[in-house]
Amino acid sequence: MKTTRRSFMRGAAYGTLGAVISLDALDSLGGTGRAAPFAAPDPASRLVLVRDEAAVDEGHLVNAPVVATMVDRAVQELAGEADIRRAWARFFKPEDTVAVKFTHCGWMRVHTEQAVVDAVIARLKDLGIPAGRIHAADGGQPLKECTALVNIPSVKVHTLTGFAGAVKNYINFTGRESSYHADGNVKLAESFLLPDIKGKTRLIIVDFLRPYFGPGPQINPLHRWDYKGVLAGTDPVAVDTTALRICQVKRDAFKGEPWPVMPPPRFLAAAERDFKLGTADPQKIQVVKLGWDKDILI
Amino acid sequence: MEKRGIVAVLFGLAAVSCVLRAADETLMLKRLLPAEIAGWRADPAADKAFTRDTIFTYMDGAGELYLAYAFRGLEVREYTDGRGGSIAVELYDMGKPADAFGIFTQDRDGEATAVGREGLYGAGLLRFWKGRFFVRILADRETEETKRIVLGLGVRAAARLADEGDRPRLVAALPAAGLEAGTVRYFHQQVSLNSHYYLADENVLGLGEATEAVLATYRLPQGKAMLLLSKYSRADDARRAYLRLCEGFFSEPCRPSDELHIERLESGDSAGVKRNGSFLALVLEAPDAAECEKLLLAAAKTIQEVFR
Repeated sequence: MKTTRRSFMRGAAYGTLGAVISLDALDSLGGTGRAAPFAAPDPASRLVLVRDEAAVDEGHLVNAPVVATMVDRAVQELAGEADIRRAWARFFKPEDTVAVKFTHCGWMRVHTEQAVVDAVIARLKDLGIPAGRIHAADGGQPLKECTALVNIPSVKVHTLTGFAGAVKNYINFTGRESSYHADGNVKLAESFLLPDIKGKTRLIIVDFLRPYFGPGPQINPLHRWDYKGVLAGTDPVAVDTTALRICQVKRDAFKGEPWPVMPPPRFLAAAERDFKLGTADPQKIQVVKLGWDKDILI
Repeated sequence: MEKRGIVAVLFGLAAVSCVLRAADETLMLKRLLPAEIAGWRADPAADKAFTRDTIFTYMDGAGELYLAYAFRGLEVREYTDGRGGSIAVELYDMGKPADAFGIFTQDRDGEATAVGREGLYGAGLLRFWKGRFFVRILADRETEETKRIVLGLGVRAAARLADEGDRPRLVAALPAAGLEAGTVRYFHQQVSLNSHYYLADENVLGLGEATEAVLATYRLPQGKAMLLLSKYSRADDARRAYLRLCEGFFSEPCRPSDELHIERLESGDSAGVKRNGSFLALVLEAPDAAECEKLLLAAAKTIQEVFR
């Protein structure tokens, strides 16, 4: 069967993705779908979204201490531990060697904020992991030596893959970045199955402070907004599905009419169906929301 | 022998001339812009240049969109104010005016400003096209001062780009009634179409380097619709694309002799396609079959008027 917009809308080809990006006319402007997505009572994936109005100021400058507190709060809630150290210890051990994978995108300017990177590194050190065993970079870490990975992507709608978040963040580990663009984007999730990566991702902290929702290919500042959030989880597909949905609602609000993310980020459905990496079904994702809720869009 | 020597010399001179012309053309920024403007300074020696082969070193993850046009090269310059502020100027040689217009239409959000052709400004970013060039000037932070500098640089660059350039003829083939002018996109390839509108995984329209396409939104009495016009090198290519669409997108079969096909889709809207020689007109998301057909016939008429 050929995959067209019509089969896409029926969900025959890419599951619930059409619903996530509004191709089936979800009531996206209010952020409320017909079946109340992301409110699963018995979820397959649980995420924590923390927002703080003080995280980014009017001049778009990031407040690092506030961000560090947000990251802690997200990890505490995700771990179900009130104590910060114990919460982080649910994910990492002092004997771990950790790759901290952030997003650096100089030309696009939508990179992981240093405040998020620093907050994660500080807590890894607090656990007793020496600096020499914490490898923070956009790629090139000694993955074979690493026993754990922390995935800390920025968030952007992407001209070629539809969306760039947690799943696409590992593209730099493949050495074949361009092959995962355009039609190749359905295979994006296979980077998580590389021998030196598979099963090592313990935590995902999405920098949702200043996401990008525009069409690209380069940044248009009109399409960047201060959402002032961090999103934590362990399921990269659920994390991206949720972040995509928030960007989709923002796009629709910006235009005042449906403006579906293009091209459809088909890799999300493939990540669930073909690579068993997580869930792309909003009905199976629970999002715990903490903090500032103005214009939360979910 | 002497004749061969003269020929060799002539070839040599021609080669040198080509090299000089090429070098000259790849040093456009130095001729367009000053090294200093109102206290913002650039080091022209630090200007960067990229070609079709090296564009990914500048924009890893997005160069494909430029390569889908006749892109020839990019020059980048940075101005700084000595206080941490930065303004980046990007000059794209898109090979021909039609493709400068095309890449410009990739993102049309911004306020109209009288800089270059169809200049747009918003939040510190200025974009315009002129001749075969597409220009982007971006301040890392918008202030009254940076806005003034960005627009000032744009005005200077536009003034020194002599050729105006024409919009592609295919754009003129869009019927005027109901057209939302700010939604017009011009492109050649599937990767560009996919960034605007998802039609199918497969290249059902047979888009490629040699095809031209224009996509736009129309406001109709009962709602909105999309119109996509595609122009092929040969009528046979248009016929093949027509049949592929019928097979891959529509439910009901079309015969090779058919030239018009309209269907009401399960989503409740209507879609249709009309073949007209080496052109296809495709209407999507029309409120009903009657409006779909009306727009298709209007497109067929303007295609004939523009390309007769």
